[in-house]
Amino acid sequence: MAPSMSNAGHPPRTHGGLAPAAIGSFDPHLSQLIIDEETVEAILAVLRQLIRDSQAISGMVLDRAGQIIVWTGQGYAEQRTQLGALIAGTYASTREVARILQENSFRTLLQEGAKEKIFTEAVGDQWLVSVIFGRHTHLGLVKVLCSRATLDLAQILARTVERSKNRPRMKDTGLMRVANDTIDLLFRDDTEK
Amino acid sequence: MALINVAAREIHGKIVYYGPGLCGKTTNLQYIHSKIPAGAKGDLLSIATETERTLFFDFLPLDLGKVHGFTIRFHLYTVPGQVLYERTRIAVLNGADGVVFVADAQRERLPDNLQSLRELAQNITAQGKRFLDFPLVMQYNKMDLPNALPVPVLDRYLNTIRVPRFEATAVTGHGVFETLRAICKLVTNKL
Ligand SMILES: Nc1nc2c(ncn2[C@@H]2O[C@H](COP(=O)(O)OP(=O)(O)O)[C@@H](O)[C@H]2O)c(=O)[nH]1
Ligand SMILES: [Mg+2]
Repeated sequence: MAPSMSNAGHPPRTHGGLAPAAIGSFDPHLSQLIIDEETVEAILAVLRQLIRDSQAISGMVLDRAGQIIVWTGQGYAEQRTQLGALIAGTYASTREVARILQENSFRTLLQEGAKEKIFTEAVGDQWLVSVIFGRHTHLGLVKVLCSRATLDLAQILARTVERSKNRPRMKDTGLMRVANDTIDLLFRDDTEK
Repeated sequence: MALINVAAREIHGKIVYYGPGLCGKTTNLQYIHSKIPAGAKGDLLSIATETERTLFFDFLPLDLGKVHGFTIRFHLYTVPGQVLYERTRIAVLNGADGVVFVADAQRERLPDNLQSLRELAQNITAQGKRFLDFPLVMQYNKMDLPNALPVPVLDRYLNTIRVPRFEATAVTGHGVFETLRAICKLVTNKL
């Protein structure tokens, strides 16, 4: 079966003058990432421990495009899609600010309210981990625990990327045909002739 | 980068509406939001200035429901079009799986369209992707206006790379869903 990567074999490139990080580096030719059970279980274990140890409310691992890979916790689960999009957007804009300041180390982001806070840290070059916590949790603790968690998460995701490269394309299944039919069915306008 | 969550049986794709300021990107999302059945969409989130101009992005999650046991989701975004916000556009474009380039068909907007399209090509390339292979469709919007350029002229200047293109009047919804279907299929077929 065809590999999941369409441009395999291209030489690695660097981006914006920054050398890719050794772990979890951004591969522009990887057009999809396949998250398997093993990945979800491993990420969940890290997130759960992070939340337990810091007594946070919720936590998530998401990609830089704003798509949530794993979410855990009770608070704000309903709004997680929007949270993911907003946090990834804010992080990306922070990174652009960093570029202007020629600053390489804007790897974290803190959003602070009167009641709740959200701490976000980069995981490798492609992902983020975010923790939502209340006033009973100490920010310093969250920072320490997060920076430890990011190392584990980066390794888990780097292995996922490797496995992803050897997976069959979705194209080879009947899924694409049915997906196209569903798109026709659902994304249509009654006023269209 | 599309995310295929085999464990949760979910597929996510990110689609960005790109184009010069006031070409109708937000209007596309508003129309889509108004017509999609409640179960298949989330709230339309808009981060805009007081005067309704997009400041950061608009965001609309769409949900195709279960297909062969997989839940397929598309996240639609728009970028702020004004030249000033180039860095913000780069941020929103991050990790996009497909782009709709919305052109303003009015004659006097041709230079703005060209500049925006060039910038898009640069930004896609800067992400390490090949622009010519990237899932892209074009929408010629505001075809209702008397000063809209004829399609062959728009084709000649804007669609030199010959991607699928659609005429539209986003305010009435004409062409909006046709465009959406085309980009969603391009993204899905790349999986
Ligand atoms: N006549 C006409 N006006 C449109 C059309 N699409 C959008 N507009 C108007 O153009 C203006 C800018 O639209 P908007 O969606 O905010 O542009 P954006 O900057 O690309 O997000 C608004 O006043 C819209 O009502 C169209 O197809 N025809
Ligand atoms: Mg707008």
